[in-house]
Amino acid sequence: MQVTALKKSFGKTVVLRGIDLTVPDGKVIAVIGPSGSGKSTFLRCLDYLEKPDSGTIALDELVIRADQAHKKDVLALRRGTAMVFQQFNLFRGRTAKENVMEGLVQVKRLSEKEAGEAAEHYLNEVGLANRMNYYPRQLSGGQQQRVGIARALALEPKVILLDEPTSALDPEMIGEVLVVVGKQAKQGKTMLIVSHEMDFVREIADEVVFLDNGLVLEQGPPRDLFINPAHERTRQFLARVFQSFDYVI
Amino acid sequence: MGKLFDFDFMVDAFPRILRYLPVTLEITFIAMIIGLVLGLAIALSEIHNIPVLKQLGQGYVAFIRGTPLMVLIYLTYFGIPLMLEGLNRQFGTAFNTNSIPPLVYAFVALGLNDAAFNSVAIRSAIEAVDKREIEAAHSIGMTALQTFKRVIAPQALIIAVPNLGNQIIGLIKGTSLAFTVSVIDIMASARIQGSRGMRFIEVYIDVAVIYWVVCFFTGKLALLIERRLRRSELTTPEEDEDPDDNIMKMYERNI
Ligand SMILES: Nc1ncnc2c1ncn2[C@@H]1O[C@H](COP(=O)(O)OP(=O)(O)OP(=O)(O)O)[C@@H](O)[C@H]1O
Ligand SMILES: [Mg+2]
Repeated sequence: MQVTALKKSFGKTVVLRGIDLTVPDGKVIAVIGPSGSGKSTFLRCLDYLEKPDSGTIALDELVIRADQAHKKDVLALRRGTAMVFQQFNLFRGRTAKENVMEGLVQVKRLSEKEAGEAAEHYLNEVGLANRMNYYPRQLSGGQQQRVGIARALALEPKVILLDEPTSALDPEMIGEVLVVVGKQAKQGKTMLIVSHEMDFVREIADEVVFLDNGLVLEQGPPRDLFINPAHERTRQFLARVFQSFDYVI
Repeated sequence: MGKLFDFDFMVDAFPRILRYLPVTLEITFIAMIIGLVLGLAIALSEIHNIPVLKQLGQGYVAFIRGTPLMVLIYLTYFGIPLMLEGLNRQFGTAFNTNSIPPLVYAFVALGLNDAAFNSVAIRSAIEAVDKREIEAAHSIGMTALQTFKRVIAPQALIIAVPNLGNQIIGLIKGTSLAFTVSVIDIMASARIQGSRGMRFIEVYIDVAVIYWVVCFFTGKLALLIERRLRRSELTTPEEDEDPDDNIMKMYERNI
């Protein structure tokens, strides 16, 4: 996936000032940055949950120019990506299994049987083999998020977009979700993840992108960027994050 | 001096009035369909901000809100023949304005009235659907139509059912005005029975009981439908086959 000069404003508030980013196949790119820097907006633009004002998004041979995006292209982009939401965004009226099946049946046009088998496979993959027929409200936050991840995985997207997948969770549930995401990362899934879990980012990300005020301020392998950031802003941000981290521990 | 209250007369009249219940139900049913379809159309045109239609819808709702049902019934009763007559003169069509069955006026007037109030209920139900689920539907690549059918409509229905149930009860009661345009329903029948015996309180008690029972069961039915639709929210967790949800162990073994 390749993003070029992506811009987005809400009314007079300029949120993304021209983002360039490449997500190579099989790599995990982590996006970090202060609150309000536009991380969520950026991810949402890539799934057209927000309509970018300008710039291009390329996913393999599909190239979308924001100013002339057709419905068909948007649909193709959404079908080539999958989103894991901060708030899980599960279909409350459907069981875990039905949540995963929904896209397979409606969008990928699999038969109920095939979709059911795939759903079971992916729910098993995220450790929910014994929660298939539970409704979201019967599941803990961590379990709900794992259903969300299974739903994304089942669609076999080219890129998985994860927007702070653990920040709505109680601390004791963060681990189980990170473990699942980490496993997928190691299996070579292409991911773009926004996360404040710095230890986790350091472990799984091939590249870290520091987003500040709607711009990519710097980018590099976690080791370099965490230990030796080029910009003062990055340094301040990291100091703040790691400090608050120490408090927690 | 005659009896103050003729119990036997009340009992005798009851089945004669009840015989017309199907007419009352027919008006209710057809007006309900008109009200739901038109109400949905108005709600959607407002939500999707469709120019012209949206303004028409809003004007329509404002008009109906300020028009007593009785007045609306007379407006259709005198307005529809006038409109058809106008068409006849303008385009040489040959509608016979005298052959319109009175039931039609009841269908139209009550349906139009119901549509305005339904549109408000339907719109607020659709707007109350969880945006996060809509985003999830979009993100997995559903089309707008699929999203509506699979996510928005089922949830909006649950939210709207209690309101729509109340609307239908209002509609049932509203049918009691249909006698004014010569429809013979339970209300009209009660009036006829009453004039025949010159006893009125008896027949109005009869008809009140019928309305009361029908409304009661309609309310129950709405509640039942709502419960049924909400079953995913009301079920309690099943007994765990394997209470130890051992995701961490599972991966520790693998890593
Ligand atoms: N729908 C919207 N309408 C108006 N402004 C918005 C909207 N969504 C986001 N914004 C604004 O855009 C800016 C960036 O928001 P965004 O949610 O992308 O930040 P973020 O980096 O994800 O922050 P956080 O770490 O708190 O999640 C914020 O100033 C926010 O107020
Ligand atoms: Mg965010």
